[in-house]
Amino acid sequence: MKIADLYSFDETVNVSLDDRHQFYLTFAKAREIQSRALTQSRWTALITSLVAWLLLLFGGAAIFQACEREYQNWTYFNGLYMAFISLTTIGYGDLTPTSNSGRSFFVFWSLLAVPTITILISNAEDTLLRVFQEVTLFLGSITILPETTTLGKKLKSMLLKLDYASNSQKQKQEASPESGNGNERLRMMVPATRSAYCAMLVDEMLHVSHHLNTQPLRFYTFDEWVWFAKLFQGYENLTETCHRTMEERGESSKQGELNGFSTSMNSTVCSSHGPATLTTTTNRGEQRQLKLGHFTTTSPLMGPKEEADWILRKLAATLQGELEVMTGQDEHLITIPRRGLLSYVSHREGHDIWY
Amino acid sequence: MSHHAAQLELEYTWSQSYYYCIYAAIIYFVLASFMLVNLLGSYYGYYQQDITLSHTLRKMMTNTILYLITIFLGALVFSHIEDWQYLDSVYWADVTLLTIGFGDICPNTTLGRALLFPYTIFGIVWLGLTLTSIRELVLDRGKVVMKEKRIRKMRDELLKGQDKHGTYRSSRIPVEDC
Repeated sequence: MKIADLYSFDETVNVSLDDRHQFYLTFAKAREIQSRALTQSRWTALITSLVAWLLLLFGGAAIFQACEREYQNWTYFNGLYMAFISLTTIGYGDLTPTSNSGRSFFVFWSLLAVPTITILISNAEDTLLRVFQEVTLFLGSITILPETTTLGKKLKSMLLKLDYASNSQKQKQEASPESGNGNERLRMMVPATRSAYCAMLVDEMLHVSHHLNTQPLRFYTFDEWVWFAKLFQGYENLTETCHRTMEERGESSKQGELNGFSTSMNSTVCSSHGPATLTTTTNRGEQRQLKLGHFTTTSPLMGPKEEADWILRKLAATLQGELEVMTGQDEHLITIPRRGLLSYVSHREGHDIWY
Repeated sequence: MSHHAAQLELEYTWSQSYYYCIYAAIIYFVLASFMLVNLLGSYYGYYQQDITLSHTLRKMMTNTILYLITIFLGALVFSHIEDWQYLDSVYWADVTLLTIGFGDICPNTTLGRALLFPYTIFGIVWLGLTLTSIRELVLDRGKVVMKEKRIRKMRDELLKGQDKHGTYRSSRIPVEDC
């Protein structure tokens, strides 16, 4: 790793950037750190286990030769051959230890070496053998084990998987702060009613729940995070900020009824006016601050939790807040029991960022 | 006992037990050194006073111990049946259960050959469990811990170098521009 890279990155950065750009920079940095840490830890593990295995192989061979020289006139290569045939569990038995020292050392040595080679193979699977694994899976999918996805899609996803670095580079280009338009998911739908907003939240929760526990882990793009951050705002803030921004820009709010939502599309997403104040007050008088980009352990980007899991919890918490407001408005509805979801998110996980 | 050994003139040599004692001494010395370091560390406050064993660690330890018991008990039984020396029998059990199968020592009696079926099935399955638990401990848990540590280190370096600009510390997700 080159720390100089990290430093030089900042010198070109203007301090008075707008929020979207600042968040984008942080986001890119976080992703870069993540991918670099993953690669580094993988290679370190591989090299450590490889060195341990080679030490066991060559060191063991030397000791076997020393033990058997008097009895069977072994050369060093004989010892190495015997050690290798044993380690791979081929076990021809043409060369075996016969001396007391050789046999006792064999028991001791083999119990160490066999777990080491298992670990080595697993470590190599993540790094060196990943290419082979992908190629075999690919060949299998086009020959004897056909999949439902088309060949082109398969090729594309495989290429993306093969090189994580170029993948993240691509993501950067796609999600550069100026190119927010054109993204279908960013099409901001301003819900007409609070229940429509709740339905949107449920819809998103269903969508995100598909990403839970999938391999490889789902990492959300910059645009997706922005979209989720908007959803987390709560009904009042969402509609208010949307309408205000549109008024400021003097755009006619093109509102059309569509499945109960009044949708308003905005072609430009990037905010051009100065740093916006994001400390908004919710209907319960609490302050909500959106600090997703923080480089702290509480940040979902750098924290230990799966991103889909984190977002799902946050969506559920938002939905609960909205439902509580709704039960407060309708007298005949019973109070929603709080099963400690909010407290679970904020206290136990340490994610008390917004509440 | 072997062909080569018989060719040599009669002489005295160290028994296998002697060499096992050497290995045991080495292992005990290393373990005792670790424990001494741990004791001093906890005495001077570098380590925590008590250690909690995680589930994976516990599983790995019990599996390893039971695997070794399988080797040594099986060797005892087979050394009686086949009339082998006990430590030769340990060598045979190790070669057999690791599926190396040299064939320099193998059971010749019918009873021994019949007992080999259940013994090796049990032993090989147990070896698989042991290897899985070791793998789980070293790879699945160790790797996550290693990655977290590395991320934390990189993040701290980044923040230390760039705190004056406040670029990464104060950045927030934009919400106004929907």
